[in-house]
Amino acid sequence: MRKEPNTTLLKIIPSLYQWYKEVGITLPMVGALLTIVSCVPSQNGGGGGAKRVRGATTDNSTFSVSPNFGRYLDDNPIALSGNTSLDSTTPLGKFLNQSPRFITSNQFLIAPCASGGAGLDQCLEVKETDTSSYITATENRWAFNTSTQEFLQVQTFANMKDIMNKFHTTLEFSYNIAQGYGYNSAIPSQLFTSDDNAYWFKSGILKGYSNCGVENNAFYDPAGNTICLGHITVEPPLYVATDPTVTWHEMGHAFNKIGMNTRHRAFESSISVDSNLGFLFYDEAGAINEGLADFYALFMNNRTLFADWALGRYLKQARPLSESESVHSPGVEKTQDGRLSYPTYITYDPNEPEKAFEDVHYAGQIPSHFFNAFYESLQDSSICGLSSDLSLKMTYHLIFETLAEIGDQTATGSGVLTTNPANFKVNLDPTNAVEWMAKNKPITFRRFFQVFSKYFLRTLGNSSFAICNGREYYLDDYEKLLDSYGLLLFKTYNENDNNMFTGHSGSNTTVTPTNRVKSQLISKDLLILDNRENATTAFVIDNQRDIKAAIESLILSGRISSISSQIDGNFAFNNGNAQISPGELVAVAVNLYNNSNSTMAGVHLLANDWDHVKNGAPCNNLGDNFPLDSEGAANLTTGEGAQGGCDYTTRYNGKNILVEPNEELAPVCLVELPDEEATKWVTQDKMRTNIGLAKTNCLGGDTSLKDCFIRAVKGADHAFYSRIDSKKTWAESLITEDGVPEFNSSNVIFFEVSPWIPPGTTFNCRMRASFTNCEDCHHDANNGYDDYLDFEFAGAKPFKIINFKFTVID
Amino acid sequence: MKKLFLLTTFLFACTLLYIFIIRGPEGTQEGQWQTYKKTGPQNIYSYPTTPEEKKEAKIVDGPKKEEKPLRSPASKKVEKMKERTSIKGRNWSLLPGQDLPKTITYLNKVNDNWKGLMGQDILRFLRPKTSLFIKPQARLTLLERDGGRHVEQVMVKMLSPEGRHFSYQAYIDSETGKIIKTWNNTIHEPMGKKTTTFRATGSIGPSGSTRF
Repeated sequence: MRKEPNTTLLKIIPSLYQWYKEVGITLPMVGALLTIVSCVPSQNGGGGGAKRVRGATTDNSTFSVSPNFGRYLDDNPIALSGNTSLDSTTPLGKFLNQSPRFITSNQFLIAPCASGGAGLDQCLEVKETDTSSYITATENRWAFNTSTQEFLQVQTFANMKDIMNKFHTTLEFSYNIAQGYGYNSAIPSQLFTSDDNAYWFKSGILKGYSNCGVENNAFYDPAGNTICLGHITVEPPLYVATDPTVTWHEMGHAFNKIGMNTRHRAFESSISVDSNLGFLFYDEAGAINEGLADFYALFMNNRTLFADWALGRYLKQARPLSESESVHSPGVEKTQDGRLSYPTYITYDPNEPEKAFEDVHYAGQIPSHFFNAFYESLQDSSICGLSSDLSLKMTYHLIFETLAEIGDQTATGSGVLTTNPANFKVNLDPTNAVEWMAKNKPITFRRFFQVFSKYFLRTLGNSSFAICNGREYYLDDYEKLLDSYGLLLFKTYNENDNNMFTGHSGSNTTVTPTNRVKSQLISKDLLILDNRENATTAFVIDNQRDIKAAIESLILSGRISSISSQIDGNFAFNNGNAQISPGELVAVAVNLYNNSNSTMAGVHLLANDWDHVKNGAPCNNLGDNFPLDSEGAANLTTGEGAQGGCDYTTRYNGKNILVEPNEELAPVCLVELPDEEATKWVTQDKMRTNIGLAKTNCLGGDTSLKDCFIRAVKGADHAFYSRIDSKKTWAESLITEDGVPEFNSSNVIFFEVSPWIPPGTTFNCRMRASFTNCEDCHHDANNGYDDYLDFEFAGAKPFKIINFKFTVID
Repeated sequence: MKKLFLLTTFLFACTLLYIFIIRGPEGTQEGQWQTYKKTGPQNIYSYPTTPEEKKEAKIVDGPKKEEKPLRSPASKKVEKMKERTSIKGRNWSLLPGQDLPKTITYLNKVNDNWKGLMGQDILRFLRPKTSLFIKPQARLTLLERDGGRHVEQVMVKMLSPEGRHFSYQAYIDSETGKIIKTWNNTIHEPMGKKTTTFRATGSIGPSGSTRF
């Protein structure tokens, strides 16, 4: 914090001198007196009011600060020095703010927090590693040489404390906005009064480790609520903790976790499963998480370049947050056409722009650039004209609102917290909320920015509130900005939400169609299985080595549930013949083809159980012409809209036996059973009884008969593709040097194949596909293009059904 | 005096018997970390996690119980859902709006060796030098469509042979030791560009399969 010079002292010196001369006090004595006066520490600076000076090296010795004070870097050394060639041998003392700052009066590096009248005595703590002892101040002073581990801990602690305090200040501001203006807000009134510490963590403390020993890595561990800062492997090591932007980024992940769990924590519900923002190696929820985390660096230092020291100096992986950063490729600029737009830049690394990288950190640049652009627009006097500080707070206000709604496991979304199903407006209901967030109705760029926009409409865009210096932020300006990023992907602001009873009631604000210039909406019918001549239907990975490596990474990262005990631990049945054989665990990438003239993005393929089978037979009125009536399709004559009929979609995802006793979900894979008259498509359990297989021989044992023979591994039962270019498949869009596709774990679906399957058995796995910039995956043409209701995502309507047929070969 | 001596000896013996047989050789208490290691394809053994292992795996011992952190006043009381027991030693974990039915069917039983089963189930696919650490957090019963399912809520930490750290929370089936659900997975910031990718073994098409 910049400290103003003490001008009062300067004014009285001449007067004092005159007086001293009169009373016979010599000039040296005056000089000594002034020196003593200037050395008295002030509350804020500890340095006697000296102007902030960098450049002169400070050894940061113990007695150069007052008790409880210390020094630390408040930005990374490259930012502080302006020297992009700085290396890890450089002593960092010259970049310290010479004015010491308050660290803590505690014995250890432990900090309290407070917000909205609530507080905790221990909110964060820092040590070197998780098993290190706490360091203590030397003579109650926290000044250490910058080459020491003690300094790193103070550095980490101070950076974490600074952002935590600013986060709480901003959160309190947001709460006051929501309460003060009285609109339908997602920020709960119990935010600061809940016993579950909805404004922080239920367990209380967030731990930081300044040198946890990991190489070229840092991580946030939400299970243990810890932040681990490693080092870059150069000589001498570059400690990540010396780049505050990385510390702030990791704190950003922690704050996103708080945001996603705000409402049910405020409700003190007994939900123990936290809402997460990101579920696969690559998905758009994870990209949003990364973009938000990058933006938390700007939150602190107002710079539009992230990690130029820790990531940029040696690894060339610094990330920009503005098109004006020089690291960007030519053509990327702050114009309507030049913005970092979706989906064009979804796989873009500014450091290697000629290559495509499907990675959440690169995809996250699109939202981070938008957040910065929106923040800048709020300061633009022709648009809103707010101060920098207020603009940042209002940007974060919309972020807090959005996270609180999309992560809400009470399913109420906004307004009063209640268990009344009439108020379940988002994520279907508490029982299914996590599955909706992760799979059926995932958090995508479309969903996030539609909700963000809804709260924009309720606040900045509200003419009654006139937040923008006497007027609102005009909707046209907002839509044009959002469209310049390719994110105007919704037709209405969906103010009526998605409740099964009221989701189509009332009216919604519609997007002005002419504002949608860059944001392309494409019909789902144009997403098909590649049907070109000699085209591949699916890629298969079934060799032992790759499957072992894939499953190991999924198990280590905790992405999947358990695998059937019928699958050999060494994948002994995996024969690498590129076919699906009994006893194997295979990875399948269905070869989806984009038959449109625009890029499809955020393509999501689901292989989880869904509502497509009634009374034990597959429905054939779901738009995929499967199966034929003669092939065993379900009877369609059940009363219209009645439970158990093919034109009825379960309201509770098949999980409420009391209200919907005849509704159950079915696995995606059906099996072809030869019949006397014709072949029929039947459920796997029917096949099992037909061949006389004992229940205990099913993949899931005798309690899981529905997926007896072929089962998608839970957690790996959905796949995500960043983009599919026009008239191409995903593999063709992200081509490798030799043309053989390479997949990461989120691009494939893993299937367990029972060893009991008779070779020659044919299966049809009826999967559902959607994509982010889809026209009719989200908008219901029969209801004024309002969003589909939540329950409909248990069925077929919002999806393009993809039938993957294969025969199990011995 | 003699009778008192006999009674005391008897009670002492019963106590020892309880600890050894009922609690099992592991003798681990809820909230303590247990290590599982695989030494060979079929060999997995377990023991209470040592301090050295905790250091290596970056395991922090929190408070023995989930203590409420110290907080300042200004709290408004909100009516909390009362804890209800399903079977002895565990609580129902009901979501907002869920009510207990009048009659309950339990979909599984509780196997005291669920941790061992879990360790075997996870490690059987992993390389021998992988370390698995499990810390029980709660014993719950979930209300599913067809009845109640007993689960163990755990924190899992894993250390790959290369020393990479992973952590998450999970529900474990109390009978089979299988993972039902996971959440709060570690978010890494890999600062190189190495990601695990897999090349297709081959492809399937209308004209058959092709091996690359």
